[in-house]
Amino acid sequence: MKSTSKIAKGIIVEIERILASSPPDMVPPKFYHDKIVIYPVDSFLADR
Amino acid sequence: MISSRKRQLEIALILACLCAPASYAEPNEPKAGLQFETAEKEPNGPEPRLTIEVSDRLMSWTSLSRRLAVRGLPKPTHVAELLVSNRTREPSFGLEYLMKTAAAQSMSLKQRQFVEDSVPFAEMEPDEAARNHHRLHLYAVSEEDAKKMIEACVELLTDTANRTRQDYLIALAGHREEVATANQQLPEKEIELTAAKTSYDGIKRATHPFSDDTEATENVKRTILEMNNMLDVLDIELAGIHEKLKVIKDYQEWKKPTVASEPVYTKLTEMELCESRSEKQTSLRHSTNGPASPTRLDA
Repeated sequence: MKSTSKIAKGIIVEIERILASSPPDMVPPKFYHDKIVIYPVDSFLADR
Repeated sequence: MISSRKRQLEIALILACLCAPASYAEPNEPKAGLQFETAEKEPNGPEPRLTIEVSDRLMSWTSLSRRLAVRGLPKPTHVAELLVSNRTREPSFGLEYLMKTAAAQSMSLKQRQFVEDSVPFAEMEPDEAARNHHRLHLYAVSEEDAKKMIEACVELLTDTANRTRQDYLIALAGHREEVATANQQLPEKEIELTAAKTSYDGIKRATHPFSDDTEATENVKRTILEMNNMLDVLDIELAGIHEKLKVIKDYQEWKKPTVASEPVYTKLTEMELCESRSEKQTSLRHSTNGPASPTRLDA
């Protein structure tokens, strides 16, 4: 019981560390200057 | 006269300086702000607004995509270019789930077919100009669909990030509950442990008073093994008695009881007693071992 508790406490510390560090897979997407550009696609190049 | 010429020259120089950067500017540069389209709010992002601009600069398609176009698949007319920070989840991960987003539901049928049928609807590569960013291209069959693709991509990446965070939070809550339960049960278990230790010490003192714990355990194991061997021998004897008894009983039935003499009956009674004793031993062994191993004591 003591070892179960100790292991669980270790996991809790690790999860809290991960949550505090905000790794990339938990961060919403960020864009360059928060700008997205839409371009037309060259149909001639697409047909070639 | 001279001062008037000087002033004219100054004006000409100033005009030349002002107009020069405009003439050297990139003709296909995106017209920032000219065709501002949408601005949406990111639920958890540090920057709440995301702007989408439409440029008139032509972009080409990949060779692989062109080959697919030959097969009669829809061709893209627009491409959305996203410069995604490397400090967030890599966008190529999970793009196969793009069509499961809410934004994807409002895409045109043609776009849905394009995404589902043509593999390179999205391309990604590290960007040279914007450091620590990846350039993601999302192809679409119309400008409106390109915007929907952006929405779907942002939605997918945001949802994935939130879900991952949520998973960690659920795991955290589960482990906290585990610790709380363990802490709650600990005093009770401490009492049980004390009682078990007292009982153990008592048994050990009675059976192996001069042995340490390891030696006592080994002795117990050896005793169990010896008992198992003895019980095996008894099992074999019992099987033999059973068979003998069966033969005698069959003979008795055939010959009738009148024929049998007094010593035979006495012997038969003894054997029956022996049989019942052996059965009792067997049942005792079963109760000691429990249902998992009914014929053998665990060493």
